[in-house]
Order: sequence, then structure tokens, then C-alpha cells
Amino acid sequence: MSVVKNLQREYSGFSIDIPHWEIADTGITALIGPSGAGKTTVFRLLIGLEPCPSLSWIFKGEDLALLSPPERRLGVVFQSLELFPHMTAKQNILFAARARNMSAASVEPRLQELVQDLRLEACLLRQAHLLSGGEAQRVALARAVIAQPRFLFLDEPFSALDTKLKVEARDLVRRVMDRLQIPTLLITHDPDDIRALAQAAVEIHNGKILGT
Amino acid sequence: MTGTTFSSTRALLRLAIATTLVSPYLIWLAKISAWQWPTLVEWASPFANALVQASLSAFLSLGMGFVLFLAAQGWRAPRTRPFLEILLLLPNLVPPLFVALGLLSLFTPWMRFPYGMGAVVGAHVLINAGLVAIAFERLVQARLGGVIEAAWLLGTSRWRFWQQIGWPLLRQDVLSLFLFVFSICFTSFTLPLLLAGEQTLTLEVAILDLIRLQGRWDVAVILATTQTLALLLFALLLPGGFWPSRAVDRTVGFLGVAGLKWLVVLPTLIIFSGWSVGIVTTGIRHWPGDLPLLESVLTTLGIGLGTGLLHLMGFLLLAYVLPHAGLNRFLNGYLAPSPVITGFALLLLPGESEEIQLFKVMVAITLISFPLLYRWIVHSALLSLRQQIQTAYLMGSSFSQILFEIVWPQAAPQMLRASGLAALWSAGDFGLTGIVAGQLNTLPLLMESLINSYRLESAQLLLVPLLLLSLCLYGLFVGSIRYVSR
Repeated sequence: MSVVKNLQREYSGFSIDIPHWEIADTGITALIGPSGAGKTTVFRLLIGLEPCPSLSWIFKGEDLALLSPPERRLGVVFQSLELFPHMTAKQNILFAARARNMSAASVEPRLQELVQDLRLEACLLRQAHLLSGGEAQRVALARAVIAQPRFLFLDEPFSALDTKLKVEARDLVRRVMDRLQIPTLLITHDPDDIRALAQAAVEIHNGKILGT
Repeated sequence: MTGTTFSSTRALLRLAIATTLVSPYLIWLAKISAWQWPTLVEWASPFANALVQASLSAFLSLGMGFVLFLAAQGWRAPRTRPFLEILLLLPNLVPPLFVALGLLSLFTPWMRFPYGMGAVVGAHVLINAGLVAIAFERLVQARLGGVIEAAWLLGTSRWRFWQQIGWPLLRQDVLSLFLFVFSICFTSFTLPLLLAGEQTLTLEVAILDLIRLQGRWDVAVILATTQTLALLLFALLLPGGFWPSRAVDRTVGFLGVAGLKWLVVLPTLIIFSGWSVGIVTTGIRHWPGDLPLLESVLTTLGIGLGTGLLHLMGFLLLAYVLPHAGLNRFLNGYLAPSPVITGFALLLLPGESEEIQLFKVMVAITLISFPLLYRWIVHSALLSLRQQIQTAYLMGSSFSQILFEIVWPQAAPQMLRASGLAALWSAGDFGLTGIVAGQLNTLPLLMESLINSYRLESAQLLLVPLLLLSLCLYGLFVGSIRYVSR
């Protein structure tokens, strides 16, 4: 278990107040709640995009809250995916590998595995802004995991997909996550995501964790 | 580089950028030991003149700009759009000296030129109306695009649309746009210097007189500081940027007034016809062959190229240290210091050689135009990359990876376009160059001396090489976008 303590932040008219929270350090944990419950704020505070001076996040004996966001070595798939539009799908994925100084020898086999698992062969050389919603979502996942992050965050990753693509995408994500074994926090409001992917689920409401 | 060192370097650079931009004031603070407040007579009249001049210029520019916007929408064919944009922006792109000479040439064959407030306001309106029209188009597309389509389908009249939908939704943006034009006109130096005449003393010209004629630097700095603080106050009172980050392609043609469509050529026609009438009536017999033209061309080229490159380096540096809320607020609220104060501050710095003087001119022009060009062109490009930069940062990307793989490929067109404009403007500058390095021979300085010695026809002829050179400089920067985009 990784232990999050004092995840607390005041905003005007809203606050996040999570004094203690244990997140599984294996498998997929879902953070579920209605719109405005504070899911995305929790996600931003944990990855370090917003300051939270009181936070402590002990993961495998190390306090990640003391590290800068890049030093936390997290994989992130944003709701808006944030692919680099001027690059191809492959360049997007390799960008993340280079950022972590992965050697060419270690990148190539991993890229091939991801391309195969996520069925990216057909779109690998296409520019990101020309990818379909499903393809872009798979490329964003490949980019997030290629450098073997210590923890993966998925922020409503399927929200932009239609029902058929969602089923397909969940299937692919489950297959990849089973193989890579990266502990993951899935932020969602869709119960189907939890049923298909999560080993544990935590509910958030008004900035507070209600229970598992 | 560790995360902490990386952050400290960026913090230091942010401080350095802000300090450099306000450096003219710091130089003056270090130089002046005794301060004396300006008397009421010294500041009230120039301040009031500048206020009236800038308010009228901004108000009329917005009015004329709105009419030009409606006129431009009268042109329905999509292939005319790029041509219309160039036509509308052209008066803003050519050096102010060109505009002033165009107006002088238009009037002088028939009557005595009406020097004074009216001439300055008229020139400002001609320069800024097209820019305002383009800004209106972007604003309307971005803020009202969907609403226009709905109103159009519902059969709403144009008048009712503006009264009940357009104005209430755009009011804040129009105020910001007003402030933008007001700031440009409030600190305008070249046009009041040439066209205001002796009766209308604006703040910038008063500052120049205080320093050059009376040597009262302390009073001049206080006036310039008041000017900057007044603009800063306006900027803080009003909402942020007026220029939407990117044009949204929506049907706004419904608002166009076809009967006005030929008006779009008016500002450009007035400026260029004045100048071409002058050339045609005098021919080339007034060509000033007695002046050091080759040297002037080369020096002007050097100033343009150097200023453009300084801007480019500045934008790259900003891309490195942004996003940062504090610096962003500063850059969006801060307006360049008074050109006169900037020019004399650099003149005070040591270094008399020609090379150093040239460099000082480039720095002076950069200090003046950099904040404006950043806000106008580069800011929105960097803003749209904020999420991508954040994503790359989370991945652990290095500075160079973010800069050269994310920022440069996507923001280079805007950075190069802004640098090209800086090069073009600086090639046509004579006000700042005259203060910082009056002994240098540049084309605009030669033209100014020709105007002062009543050789207007010769000055008009020199506009040909100046315009060609300015366009070459702009073309060099903008043309390189093609190579960068590959």
C-alpha cells in the first residue's frame, strides 16, 4: 500500500480534505465520484501540478511529495490527452522515452510490444492531430507507460469515446496493465470503467473520501 | 540539471527579463541624485494633450475599425480573406515615417499641412483602424461565432443583434481593445514629433524637450514614470488580453455590409496615394545623390536584422521561463517605458564606438517593441502550448527537449512573424535612433534631416529603398517560417 497523508487544500467555496488514504500499489484503483466532487483536483494535487505543502505520499518507502513533479516519475493520461499535435504518434511515444533517457536498445522492444498490444501499427506514422479519438487515446496511454513510470494516473481516459470504442479501449488497457503491472489510479465517473478495470474503488464526494 | 537547479535558473531568468524591461528606469534612478517635482504647468498641459490625443485616436480607431470590419465581411469569397488582412494591416506594418510622409505629400501640393492634434489623431486612426478591424473579426468569431449562426437562422436583424447580443457580450473585450490602442497612441513619439506642430505639445515630446533643451532629466523621468503608471493602472483595471488565441472559423459574413465593402482599401489608399502622388509629380530629379546612401542602407539593414534577432532570442527565453503566472501578469500589464526615456537612458550608458551605438539602438527599440509584440502575437501561441509544456515537464523532459521539440516547432511562426515586424519597424525608426546614435547614418535619419531642410521630395524618394529594405527584412524572418515548419 502507498499512504497519502494530509491531502488538504482550500479553494474559494470548495476544499479537499483527505487526512489519510491508502492506495494499492498494485493493480488499478478507481477514484469515483460525481462531477464537482474533487476528482481532478485530487489528481492534480497528487501529481504535483498544484501545490499542497502538507501532503505526504509514501510509496515503497519514499515520500513522493518531497520530489518535484518530473522527479516523481509518474505516467499521466489527461482527459484531454494532450498529444503533441505537430508530431506523429510514434514521435509522441518516443518523446517520453527520450525524456527519461531510455537507451535505444531498451526502447525499441518496448515500443514494439506497446504497438502490438494497443494496435497502433496503422496509425504510428500519422500526425497526432489526424488521429481518431480511439487512436489518440491509445497513443496517449503508450506515451504514458513507455518509460515504465512508478505510478500511472488515468484521468477520465475514455470520456471522449463512444460506447463501442469504450468497450474496446477498456479491453486494451486491461491487457496492457495486466502485462506491465504498473499501479494505477483511474479517475472516472463511469461505473462501467470500474467494473471492467478496477480491483478497488474509492468514492469521493465534496472533496472527502467516503470509503471503498 | 536537477529539478531544483532547473527551477532556480528559470526563476533567475524571469527576474532578469523583468529587470531588463524596466532597466531604463533603473539607469535613471542610478544617475539622478537630486529630484525636483514638475510644476503644474510643466505636466498638466502635455499630460492633458496626450490624454485627449490618445483617447480621440483610440475612440475613432475603434469606430473606423468597426466600420472596416463590417466592410470586410461584405467580401464573401474565402479567397479574398488573406488579401483583405494584408490590406487592412498594411498601414500598421509600414514605419510611421512612411505614414507621416504620405499625409504630408497628400496635402502639401494643395494646401498648407494642418499640423496639430487633428493631424496626429488622423494618422493614428489611419494606422490602427485596420488592426482594430482584424481584432474585431477574431473577437466576433471566437466569442460570438455560434451565437451569430443561431441569430442568423432565427432571422434577427443586424441592428438587434448588435444591440442585444453583440455589445453585451463583447463590451469587456472592446474596452481592452480600446486600452490597447490608447496605450500605443499615448506613448506614440514619431508621429507627434512630425505632425503635432508647435501648438500641441504631447507628453512624449514634452519629455524630449525637457531633456534635450532644458537638461531637466529628473522632471522628465517623473513625467515618464507617471505615464507608465497611468497605463499600468488602466491595464490592471481592465480585463486581460483582447486578442483571442486562435481564429475560429465561423460564419460571421451575415454581419457584413456589402455596400461598404470598398472602404477596406481606404486607409492604405490614403497613405500610399499621398506618397505616390509625391513621387509621380516630382519624378526622380530630386534623388539625394549627395548623401551617403550606401552606408545608410547597410546601417539600417544592420539595425533591422539585429533588432529582429534580439526579439527572437527574447521570445525563446520567455518560452523557457513561461508558463509563470507572475511574469505573465507582468508582461500583460506592463507597457514599454517612454521611448524618449529609454533612448536617453541608453545614451547615458558608456560606449561611444559606432558598433556599440548600433547595439544600443537595437536594445532601445527592443525594450520598446518587445512587450507590445509579445502581447499582440506571441503570448497566445505560448498560452496554447501551456498544457503540452506541462505534460512534457511531468514526463521529465529537459529544457532543451521542451524548447526545441515542443515550443519551437509550434510557436516559431508567431515568434518569427513578431521578430520580422520588429525588424521592419526598427528599419523605419528615426526617433529613438536619433536620440541614441544621432551621428549614425541611417535611411530614416537622412529622411528626417531632408524633411527638416524642406527637401520633402527627396525624402519621399528615399522611402522607396527604405520600404524595399523593410519588406526584405520582414520577408527574411517570415520566409524562414517555411524552413522551420519542415
